Amino acid sequence: MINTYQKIKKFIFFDTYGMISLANFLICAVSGIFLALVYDVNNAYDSVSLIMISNPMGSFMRNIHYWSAQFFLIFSLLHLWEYFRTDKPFRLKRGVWLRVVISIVFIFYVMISGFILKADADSEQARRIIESLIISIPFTGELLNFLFLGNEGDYQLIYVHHIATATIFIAVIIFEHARTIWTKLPTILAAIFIVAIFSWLFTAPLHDGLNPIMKGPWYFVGLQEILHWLSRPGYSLLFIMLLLIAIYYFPLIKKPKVKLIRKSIYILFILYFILTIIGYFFRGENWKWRWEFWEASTPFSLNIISSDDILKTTVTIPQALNKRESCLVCHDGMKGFSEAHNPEAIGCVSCHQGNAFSIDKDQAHKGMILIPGNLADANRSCGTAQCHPDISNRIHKSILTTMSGVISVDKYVFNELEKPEGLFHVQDLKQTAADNHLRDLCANCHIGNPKTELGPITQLSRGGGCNACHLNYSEEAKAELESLQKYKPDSIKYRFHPSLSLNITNEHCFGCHSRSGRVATSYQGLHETKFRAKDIEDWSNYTELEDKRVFEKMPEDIHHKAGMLCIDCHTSYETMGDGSLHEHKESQMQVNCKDCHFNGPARTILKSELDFENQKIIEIREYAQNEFLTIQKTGKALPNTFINTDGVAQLISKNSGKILELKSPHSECTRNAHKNLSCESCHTAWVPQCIGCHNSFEKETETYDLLDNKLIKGAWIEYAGEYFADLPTLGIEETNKMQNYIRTFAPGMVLSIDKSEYTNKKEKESFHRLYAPTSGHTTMAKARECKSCHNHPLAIGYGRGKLEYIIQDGKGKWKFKARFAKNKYDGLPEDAWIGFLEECNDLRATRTNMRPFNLEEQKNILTVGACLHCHNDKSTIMQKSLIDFDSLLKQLSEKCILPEW
Amino acid sequence: MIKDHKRFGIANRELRHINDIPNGLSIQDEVIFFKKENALKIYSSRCTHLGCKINAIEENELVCPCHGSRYNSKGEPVKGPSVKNLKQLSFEIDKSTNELVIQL
Ligand code: FES
Repeated sequence: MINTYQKIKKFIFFDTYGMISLANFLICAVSGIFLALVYDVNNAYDSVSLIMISNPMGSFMRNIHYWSAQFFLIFSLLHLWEYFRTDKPFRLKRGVWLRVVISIVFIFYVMISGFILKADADSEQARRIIESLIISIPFTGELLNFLFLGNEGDYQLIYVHHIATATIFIAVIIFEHARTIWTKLPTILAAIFIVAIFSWLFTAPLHDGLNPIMKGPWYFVGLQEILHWLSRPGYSLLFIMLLLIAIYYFPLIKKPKVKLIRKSIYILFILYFILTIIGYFFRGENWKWRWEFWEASTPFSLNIISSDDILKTTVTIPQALNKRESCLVCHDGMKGFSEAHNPEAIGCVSCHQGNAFSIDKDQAHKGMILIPGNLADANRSCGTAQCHPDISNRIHKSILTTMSGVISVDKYVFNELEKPEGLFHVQDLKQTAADNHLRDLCANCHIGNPKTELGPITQLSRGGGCNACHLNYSEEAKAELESLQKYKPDSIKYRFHPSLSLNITNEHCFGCHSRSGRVATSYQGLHETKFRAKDIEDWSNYTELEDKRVFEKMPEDIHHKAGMLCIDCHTSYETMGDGSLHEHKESQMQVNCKDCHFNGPARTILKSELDFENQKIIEIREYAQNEFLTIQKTGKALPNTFINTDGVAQLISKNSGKILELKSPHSECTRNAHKNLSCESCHTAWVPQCIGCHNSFEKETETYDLLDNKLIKGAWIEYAGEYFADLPTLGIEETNKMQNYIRTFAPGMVLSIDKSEYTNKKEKESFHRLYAPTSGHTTMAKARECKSCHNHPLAIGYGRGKLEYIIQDGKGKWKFKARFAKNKYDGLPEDAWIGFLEECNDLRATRTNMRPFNLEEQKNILTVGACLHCHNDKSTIMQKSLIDFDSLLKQLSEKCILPEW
Repeated sequence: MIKDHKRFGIANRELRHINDIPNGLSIQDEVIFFKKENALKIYSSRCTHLGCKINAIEENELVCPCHGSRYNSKGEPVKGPSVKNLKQLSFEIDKSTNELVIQL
């Protein structure tokens, strides 16, 4: 056993450490000469990357230089260790020994200067650290720094020291203590062989300038870890100094103490080794731990020389973002990019990652992100410091990513929260009943849901990060994608790339927004039915979506009719967020009808005062205007609205360029009586409504976890009742200023939940009757009629049925007969929000600051309703009532009969 | 060490106005901007621990890649080895060209 070990040891350490080290020194020096031929000190990074991409032999030589240097260091240290290990008498003279100890510093200097000379991001940081350390030396720091490193950004001095000063010094020291500068031929040959094998397999590292992880050379990674703990890093130099002094005095120490020192050095070495392993493999981005330690490995370059033929046809190696990229050697001439994402400007790696310094396919594609833009890797693609860092920071906080409101409301109806309030994030969902309910039914409609398949955004898409809105496939790109499915990927030379641009269509929003509040379908005038395609004979009034739901045609939104897109109103800050977390969507929403439809002078902002993002949008869309309307809530611009030269406010539809005039509101809108009414209250034609919903858990049923994207057992099943497309119900939002604001509502969470099978306990079914604030997106120019609110049970919140004003014996009374049966839980008609003339004190809306009309308000509405019972809404008296209703009440005629309550 | 002053550009555009700078924290090579409403602060991106260039923002904190020092938006160290605040840089708008001139 011991014999075999000795044999193996002899095979690996074929000569003394010193001699192996010397052999590597020689290999390193010779390979260095070759490198010096192509290395350009004024263009250091570029010249190194160029060697790697376009000069396979040069690249191999660089690997040889790198690996022989690493072995030189390792064996030099082992050689030093040999002195410590044996008890043999010390043969070197004091002076020689002193120079040997000093040469340790030079060995590290030669190594680190080599590291710095590649001039990549790692090198730059290493240089800064060393500079700071040297400068921290009292009195001589500045001078030493100037002597060893020279001026910042200038590599000349380091280069000279690397190839000449330090190398010559080391050579002299070697000769002085070894009395030779040559080794046995077999040792040299064996060393060449081993170095060549390493060089063949592992490429010497070069940072691509994009990866946020910064690491020193492997032998300093342990020190990097130590420095993390040192607020006064200068002390590490003191420690190194002490270590060197200790080494110098070691041969003089008497025997009994030697053992102890040896032991301590062993322990220190092992500790440092562990730190190095930790730092090298497990220290990830932003100084956090990472567990995918294999990502730290250096890529293989087995084919680097055999793929040389590709270079024969290439004239130039393209440059992007100040660095060379090998990707474009193969993927040249691709079309379809928007101007900002042209690879000639930003390259491929800034989005797709991978290895920019290899022309070997496997090596180049290692670590590549095929579909960039998903939020999980946005900070390595779209959101890198050079591109869109501010957006990637704030998009994580957008309610389109967090789904905060959806979550809090759902948790509330599952009795997991006391109020439908608080900040939540879909990625934090665990496994409570509500969490599971969300995972089952909702949790894929967020921007963070990754896009995992190639192809355009369709009605079936959910989420997809930046791609969710910005990805477009041209016809050619689609055709190419189809052929990819038919033929082998290698057989195609890709020519058409999908584009990433501001060309955001309604289709992009459709997937998610045709669900729940269904604004995307309502906007187009489509109302969901419970029909299936087979039920429909005459399709003239119906249409089927890609997900097989059948929709009935209804009046479309007037803005849709005019050709407007979702993005014509909704700005980048509303969709990608404004950098703050929001509990519910209306707090993130900024634009309001009144921003475009106003009376009086326009609120505008000049181009020169615009924020960065809007300026960029205007630049890309090539708007020539100079003055833009602003959003009242934020003061930011609506970048596609202008005041034209005639002083008329206009909107330009972002994708089509169609110009539309912005109309002022009708005079009736601004009269006293309806001052606190939202525009939507009167101008919403219909909203989709659904009543009678029940949710129960089925343990054995399989379902798809929409958050984790996998099949699981145990499903929440939703039984929907009936669908209606009716005028919205009105209710109150109590704003911060303690003002009441009337807005539109629709049944939000009117549902019963049976949790017993989920909790395995006999539990009472829970029931909630929550209406949700809604924005119908079915705007009509004409307002709804007075009676449709004041005399209408659905508008006031009583649900569908017959609401009558009955005058009998000179007395007036309102009566209501509900159409739907009473719900078994709360005794109210299935579709009601409140009981007829009921004062409700419990929470009935999905927001704590919103509620149905209280009794007083119901009475006020119905009093007007009583007037409308006799008076036409166009009559002078009713028109007058809009200005001052109370004074009219004081002048009632004898025929007027007000309701009694 | 660069002691000179410098004119800055973002993604090949020159910074011409305070509004050219995105809201919140943003890193532009040698400098870090922190803009809130219309107030702007500019810090050097040189970490006060050992001088590395800070290259990441996470959860509204600046993170140094070298040894993990973290700074808040006021430039104060909140975690990691660093104990000194980031250097705040003075700047002015050059009236003739409208450019932002930062004293490095
Ligand atoms: S240099 Fe920034 S943490 Fe050390």
